Amino acid sequence: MYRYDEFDKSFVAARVAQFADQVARRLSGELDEEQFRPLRLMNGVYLQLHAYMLRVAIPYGTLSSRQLRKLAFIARHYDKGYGHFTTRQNIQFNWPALADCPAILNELAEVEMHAIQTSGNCIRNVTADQFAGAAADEIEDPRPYAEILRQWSSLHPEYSFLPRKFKIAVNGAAKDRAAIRVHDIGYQIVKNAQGEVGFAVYVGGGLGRTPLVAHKIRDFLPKADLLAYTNAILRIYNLEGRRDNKYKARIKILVHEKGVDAIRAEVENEFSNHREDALTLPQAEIDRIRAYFAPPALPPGAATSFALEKRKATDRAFARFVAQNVVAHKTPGYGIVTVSLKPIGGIPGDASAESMDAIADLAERFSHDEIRVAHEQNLVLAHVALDDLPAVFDGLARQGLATANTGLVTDIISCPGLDYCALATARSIPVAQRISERFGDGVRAQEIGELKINISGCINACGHHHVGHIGILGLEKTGAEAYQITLGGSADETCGVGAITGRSFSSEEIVDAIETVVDTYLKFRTDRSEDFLAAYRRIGMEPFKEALYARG
Amino acid sequence: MPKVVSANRLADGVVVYVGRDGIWLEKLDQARVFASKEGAEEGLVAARNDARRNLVVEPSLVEVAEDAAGLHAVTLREAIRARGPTIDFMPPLQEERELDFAPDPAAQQHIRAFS
Repeated sequence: MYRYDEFDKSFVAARVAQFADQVARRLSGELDEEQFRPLRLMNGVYLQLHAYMLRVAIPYGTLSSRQLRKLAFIARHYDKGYGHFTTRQNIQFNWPALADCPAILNELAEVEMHAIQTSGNCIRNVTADQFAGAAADEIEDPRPYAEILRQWSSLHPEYSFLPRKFKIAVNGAAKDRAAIRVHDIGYQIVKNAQGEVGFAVYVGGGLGRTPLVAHKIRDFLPKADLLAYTNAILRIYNLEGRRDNKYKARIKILVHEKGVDAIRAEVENEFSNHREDALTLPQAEIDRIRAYFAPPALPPGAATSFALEKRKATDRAFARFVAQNVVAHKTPGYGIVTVSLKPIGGIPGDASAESMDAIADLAERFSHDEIRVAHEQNLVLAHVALDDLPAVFDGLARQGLATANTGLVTDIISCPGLDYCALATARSIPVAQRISERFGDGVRAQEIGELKINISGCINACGHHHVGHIGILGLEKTGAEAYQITLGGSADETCGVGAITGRSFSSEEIVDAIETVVDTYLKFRTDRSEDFLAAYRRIGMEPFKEALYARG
Repeated sequence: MPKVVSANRLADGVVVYVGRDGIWLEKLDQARVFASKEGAEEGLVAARNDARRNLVVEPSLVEVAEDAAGLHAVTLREAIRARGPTIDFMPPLQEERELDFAPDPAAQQHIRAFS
């Protein structure tokens, strides 16, 4: 993975010193809140309902065990013993004191981490799919390109005051695991007819108040042009994005209003007119960055592991874990393990300091020191030898981290919601917990199969409800929480925004309503092989509407 | 409707309320209640002064009501601000954790009344 060089280290150190000084001047009153607020936001420090919140960047969701241990340390010493992994592969601490933030940032700097550009109208964390560099179905590892974009976008003088936040994602397999089509820019790694690897370029996707699927503006962008082309898009957005209305300021609105053909023409024009050599990536530079992401030395093993099969034959829970949470690695003899942060009835995406340390230990011992954060709010051990799966499972099980529910109905994405967030209109976490408990960890969830439930506690959609197979949006209606259901959304390469079922449900009603939706699916599916999304796309909304609202 | 004055403490972001002697405290049920609109406005002006003195940030008025259990916020949002998250967020094995942030059963009951 990428390691900071001397330039990066001194830059981050200087930035922390600068922020420490700003905090001191705020506490002494030399800076007032209005002056300070944009400065603290530039360092990822929010003020939420109960406390400040610090959002730490985890570039393209990749962590070393050393870094994860540092996050555990921060949780333990500066927070209440836990952190929350987000839908943009970052981590949030919910209880840091402002006065402690400089110390926290110093700790992070020791392990080459920071909270820069995790807030504000700038280019945010560049995300990638969580199986990058390991998945058997990968065309190429997206992370070197995410890293190139990260370096280019960090403190970019021209793009530090955009009309609004800007989110980029890069995906490396044909299967979109990074939700690129609901990002401002999505880069899809592709191979052209000549066998060259480059990018298909998607622009103008996004969630929030106005969910929109991105449009493809380029079938093939050569790697060398990645930065020059990104620059062209940002330049157009910076010039033309609306600054008069916060709710119409994202590039998706610009694309929607001008039309994709007009935007494509402008971008291509800007790109060809300003093809500065400085932004063209020399192959040597691409190779240099790629070298940081070279896969670990993995002596290929047998495709079948005797130890694994033996344990599976006698331990049903283990067999289920392997079936549900382990996917194929590009190197024979290895698997990619998803560590579920969705225990039944638990808080989605939260991890205690103890859990983080345990996962760091397992990663160091069994996964070449690498952990990934999935945007679905789980963690991933990317390079586990099949022979080691029993030991990894046992290690996880001891911590309650072995729930075999990746992609199942209980693998719920949930934003923090009204329990934490100043923007929220309703609570999301308790709904996730109750749904999880309703379906449980047994045969029932298995029978239902792949079903992605996403819950947002307000219209800003940080829980990605628009692209859940089932989406739940928490609103406020006459002082009480009300939950709106959407169906048929998808965040992958078949990306679509879910459709609203009808009137919302109260807090008492919502879990029963979700169960009704699931039961309707089970009733109408052709067989076990037709998953929820496929069934919905075949039968449409009517059967679900009828089940939910028609009273006999 | 009666109101109290609330804000977040500057140094640590903790939710605070103006008490009867004008000091900021962490418990809503000990807050000074302003029965009249004018009184509440005066309280808010004083709170803004405290913001300028860098004690607190974002002072605001919070509607309250009194019942057998005591003083409580009227809206769910403010009830959550007063009592903390409604979920059991503290990890299990926490020797050195401050226990006063653990959700309290009476508060849970009260918040459930909103659902």
